[in-house]
Amino acid sequence: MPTTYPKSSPTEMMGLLVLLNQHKGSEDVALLADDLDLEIDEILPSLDYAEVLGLVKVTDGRAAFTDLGRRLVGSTIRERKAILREQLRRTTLFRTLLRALENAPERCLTDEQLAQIVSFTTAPADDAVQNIVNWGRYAELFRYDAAEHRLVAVARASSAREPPPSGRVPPPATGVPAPGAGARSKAAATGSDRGETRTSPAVAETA
Amino acid sequence: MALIRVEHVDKSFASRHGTISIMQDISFDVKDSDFLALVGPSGCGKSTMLRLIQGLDRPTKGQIYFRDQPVNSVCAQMAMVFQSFALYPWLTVSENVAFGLEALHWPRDRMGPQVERYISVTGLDGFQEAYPRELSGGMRQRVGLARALAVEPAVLLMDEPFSSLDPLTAESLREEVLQLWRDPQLPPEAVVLVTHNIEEAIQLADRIIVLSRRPSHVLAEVTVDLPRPRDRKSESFYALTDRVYSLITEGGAPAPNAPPTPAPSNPSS
Repeated sequence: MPTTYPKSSPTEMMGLLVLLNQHKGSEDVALLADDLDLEIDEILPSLDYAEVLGLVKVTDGRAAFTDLGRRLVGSTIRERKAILREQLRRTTLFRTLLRALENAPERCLTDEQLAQIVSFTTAPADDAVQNIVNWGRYAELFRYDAAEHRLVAVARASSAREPPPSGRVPPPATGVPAPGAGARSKAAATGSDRGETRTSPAVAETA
Repeated sequence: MALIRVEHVDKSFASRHGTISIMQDISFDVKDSDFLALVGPSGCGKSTMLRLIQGLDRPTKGQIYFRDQPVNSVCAQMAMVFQSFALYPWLTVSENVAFGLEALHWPRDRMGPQVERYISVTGLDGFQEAYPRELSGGMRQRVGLARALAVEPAVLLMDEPFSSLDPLTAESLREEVLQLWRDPQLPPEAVVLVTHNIEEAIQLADRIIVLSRRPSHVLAEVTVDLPRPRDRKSESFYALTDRVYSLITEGGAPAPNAPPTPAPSNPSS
């Protein structure tokens, strides 16, 4: 079960979509970056996550909106949030996280538990945790208690779709393999997540 | 009808080197549902002009009118968004947004729903209880925007609001400001944006007032008649950028006999 996690903020990713929209919804990735005087590796994290969320499709170095991506940029700020929330729910990362949160004692998870669940091995964990918290909060998938550094589940009608709390805390580090493992098993990807094979070589080329 | 009229405004400051003239004989209008940008070299008094418009400071000569009434004190129909966000670190997002309403003595029972509404339209739902330190720059500027919009101003004054954001975040927020301005259900009617970024001005504004170097005067008023979203790589966009650049570089060169600018204080920044 491969997964990938966000390496840019929701606002940055939205900026990329706005930029793509200025280019009529389809553009060479290098030209997109060039438009903002950025290097390709500076827009790749946003581009990658937009692709994970099914908003953009990258083919032969060219980014283009999916139907959903086009709908998103044509929506209001509030509608965009609702679309992102639904797309995030479909990712392995947030699905796993929300399930763990529902099943956790007092429906709370500390930052450390979060890092364990998504089992970071290759990324600077603090930044990654920060980003995940940021996205989840932005999409209102959970609340965050900054004083206690913990995620708090929100009571939602839609959470009924999650498995009922069984009192069992999911074993950490088994639900989701490390991001690198996702890339290796890309061919076996299920769901809407995508491996990260493209990021690393591209970064290496432009760094 | 013009929403704001700036008529023959001079502004000078006293310094220990004598009087420094910041701007001379500046006149322009802000029309109903206008998106106006003020551009010019740094130190030309763009930010000072915003303060004069809002009534935070008084012109040395000339007069500014809002809906035909002289602006003689701080105008509650206008709100400002700052480059530095200007949030109170010890207040939560909700409390920061409520701050502008408290200053205007809004009744407590109406304040809550108003704060919620503007937190929601700016995309801050989920961060109500967060403190500014927990937020990225983009989210902080959203708080600045929500706080300004919550008082339902007729005119939103923006002082380099995107300059301290990374390029992608800035791109996103520019588009959101346009979206809010165009929504007839939401304030503001008009936006006055101060920026040193000529491309940003052309990307956002209907009209651009180009100011010269200090003491500044109006070099030109440029109309931007391009459909949105605007493609920065299009020929017509290039042509406008060129035109504004030339205006500033040619018209903004100091006169050969201009007195040297005093180094120690820069009252306009």
